[in-house]
Amino acid sequence: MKTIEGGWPSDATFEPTFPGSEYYAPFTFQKELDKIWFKTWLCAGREEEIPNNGDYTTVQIAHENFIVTRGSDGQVNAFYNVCRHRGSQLCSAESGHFSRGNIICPYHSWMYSGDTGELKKAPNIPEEDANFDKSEHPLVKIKTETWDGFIWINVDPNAPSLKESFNLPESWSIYERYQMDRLKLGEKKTYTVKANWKLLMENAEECYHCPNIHPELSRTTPPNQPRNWVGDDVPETKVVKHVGAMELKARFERVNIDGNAYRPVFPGLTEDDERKIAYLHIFPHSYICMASDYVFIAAMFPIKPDETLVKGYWLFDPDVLAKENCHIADAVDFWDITSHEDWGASELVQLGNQSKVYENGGVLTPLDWRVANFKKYVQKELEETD
Amino acid sequence: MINQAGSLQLGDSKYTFVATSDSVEEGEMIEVTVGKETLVVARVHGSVHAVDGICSHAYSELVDGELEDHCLYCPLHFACFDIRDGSVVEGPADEPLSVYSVIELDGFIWVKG
Repeated sequence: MKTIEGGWPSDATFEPTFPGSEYYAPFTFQKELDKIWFKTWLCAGREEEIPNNGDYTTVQIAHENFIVTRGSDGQVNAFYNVCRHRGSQLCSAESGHFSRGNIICPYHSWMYSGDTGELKKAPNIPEEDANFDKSEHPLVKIKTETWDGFIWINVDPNAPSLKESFNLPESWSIYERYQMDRLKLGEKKTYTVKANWKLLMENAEECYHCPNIHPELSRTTPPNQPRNWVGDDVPETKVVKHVGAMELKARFERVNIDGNAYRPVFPGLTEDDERKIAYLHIFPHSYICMASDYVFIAAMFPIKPDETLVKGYWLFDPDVLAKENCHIADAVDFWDITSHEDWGASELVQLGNQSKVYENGGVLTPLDWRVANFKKYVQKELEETD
Repeated sequence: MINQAGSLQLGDSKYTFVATSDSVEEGEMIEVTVGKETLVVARVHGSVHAVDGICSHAYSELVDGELEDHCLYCPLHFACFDIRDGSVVEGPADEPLSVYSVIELDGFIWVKG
């Protein structure tokens, strides 16, 4: 019998989904923010988005917003986007540049260092006023690290390092040949999806839906071909999950909209890699799809219980991007179309999950075994005591 | 003129050898590949027809569907196509299947492309 991904692990079974309310209840949403989102490493974008001192990008997670900026020493810093005076949001753009690296509040022009977050100036307050010490009012910093060209943030001041959390470099060793640190952003798109964040990740954790909603993806990498799983010798962690590789259909040359080759294969890939697309998932919110001539990343951020913001990144060889008339639409369209299909499906699931008849949830099949693993991860995190 | 790569040049058209006549029985279909395309080749009332092998709606291999007279039913959502001209007889598909010219000669089946 033809089956998705060539089958499932022997211990995969039928089990309940989350109850419907887990996808819309404000109480659950807040608990997830506290226990998961503000405790784990999250992908905040690419280093090349903020190449120069003072460049910044912002990240919205529910009601919180963070500034990610490059300091004068070249390091990436991240702060809560909140002035320490009266609490105004400091910058409302998705990205921009702080002149001379200073973050200035639009309300009363308090000025902070983008390097350290220290308050450098509070206009009209006498310097000699003994009742006011600027050093007591710095921006609140959050942890940030970089890896392979990606910027990662963690809101939890007690969080383990990225290396520890991701078991780097061992867990990442099989992806080193893609040399993602040298790739550059060719396209970025933002999507607003009217669905709970878990539905988007759960959707990414199975390919049962692929033949039904992804004709383009399925024609290129037929979902009933056995998946190439990653061996046990490459470690996973609580949040780093290897999802194997899908194989190109015979005679297709690239994983894109028409199967034609528009760009050379990345240097350093094996002949075997050329005919595959490898998938790496980072719980709770992102996946990295490594094709032979581009990399696509999706990172999801919860906005409301029933709304999620997704940032899509397409990375290419810098030599390709530097060329006049460089062609990247085949890769951009491929994942833009596939993503829209995923978001549409997730929005339908959100609508159904809000029904009375789904209050006890539904059923996960053995084909949904990775959804079951994601569910276990979420459950375990929510059970953790502080 | 038949060349060693299994293709037949007729004027400006290239035909690819896909099957022997005896491998496509009356009322049956097989899946073949021509270039990058997956096709189904079927015999109905003695004539051999070739159309897209993947449904024009979702991703489904039509060879796993059913052939009833000239009607080809997709196994996934039961869209129905006329295998003679690829037209949609019944939805949910709304795009026809591409049709490929077929030559059956001396026990060999050739498809244009």
